[in-house]
Amino acid sequence: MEDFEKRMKEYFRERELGVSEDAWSRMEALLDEAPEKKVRKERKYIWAIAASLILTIGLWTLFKKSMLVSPEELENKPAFVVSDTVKAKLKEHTESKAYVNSNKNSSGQRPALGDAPQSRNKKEEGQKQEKPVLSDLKELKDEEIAVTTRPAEHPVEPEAIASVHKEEQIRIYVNPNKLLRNAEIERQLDNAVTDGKSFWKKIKEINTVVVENSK
Amino acid sequence: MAQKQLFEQYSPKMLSTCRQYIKDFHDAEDVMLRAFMKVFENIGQYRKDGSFEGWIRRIMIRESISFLRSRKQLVFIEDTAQSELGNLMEDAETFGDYQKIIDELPKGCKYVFILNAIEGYKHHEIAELLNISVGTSKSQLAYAKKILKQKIEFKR
Repeated sequence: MEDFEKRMKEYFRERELGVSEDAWSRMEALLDEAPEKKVRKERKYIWAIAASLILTIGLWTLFKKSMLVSPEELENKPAFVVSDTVKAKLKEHTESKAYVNSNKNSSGQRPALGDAPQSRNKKEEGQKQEKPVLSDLKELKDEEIAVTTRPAEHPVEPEAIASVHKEEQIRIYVNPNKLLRNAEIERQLDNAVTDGKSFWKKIKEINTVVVENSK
Repeated sequence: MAQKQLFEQYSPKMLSTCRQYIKDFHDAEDVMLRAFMKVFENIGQYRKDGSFEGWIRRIMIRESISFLRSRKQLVFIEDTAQSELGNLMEDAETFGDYQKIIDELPKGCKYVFILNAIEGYKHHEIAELLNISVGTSKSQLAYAKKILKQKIEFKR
């Protein structure tokens, strides 16, 4: 078998087949076609690039136009939109509030369990008609504030507050040269007005400030 | 003209190479012409580390395989097609005609056999070229050899 393969290999390596007479003319035709194909290919690329550029510019201008808002549109637009979830929350809040109020307004006794839903429903409808959504929002805020400003259950000791305040104190450093220059200007002005009578009074004041700060 | 000189020098051998894979002579010649076009276009890429003839031959083989792929002739049959073997034995009257023996081999195993036994390709190279697994390449070669062995014994 190996011998057979060897002979076969040699046979095919040495074999030459005569090409047809017009083989070279066909080859030439193929060679002539090649540059034309290349040019066509290049043209295709150029067209593709141009088309993509036009598309990009077009999309960009459209995007820019959509971003611009006319003054009329701006006027017609609401200042803010209350989302559905916020509305639902507010509704829930008003409902619960109405229910509590109805309980308070009744004779002071706790209502029977079976009565609650009916009165609640009635109140709910009433509340709905009476108050707009925004007023509810305001009430909600007030309540929140009331809750947050409630005094703490464990009062903070005054010593601790004092220590915190002490740490937060702002220290002021005074430039003595600047201070003296200002004092000199003031003295000259005073001299001009009061013949130097209030000068020493001022000096005393400045001196006390400097001594306090240096401490 | 250098191109014509090159064509006249190598075309008989390259046509023989293409003919190994493609049964129809005119198809084989068309494939050879297309492959020569690639040779002329990419002649600058030839590195002088191997023989120039070998470089052209590789282009011919690749072009032949892409032609077979386009015609959906790259079919690999399992080692159970005994009917094809029977036909092969009846047709193989002239043992010296190696081309006829190869032509009568089942598709798939024929290309693996040519690439391995004649061109000297390794299994991983064949697998890459024909887009098959190394295992398929090995089994197809074994299948081709089995058929040829039976053919030789039958002739004796």
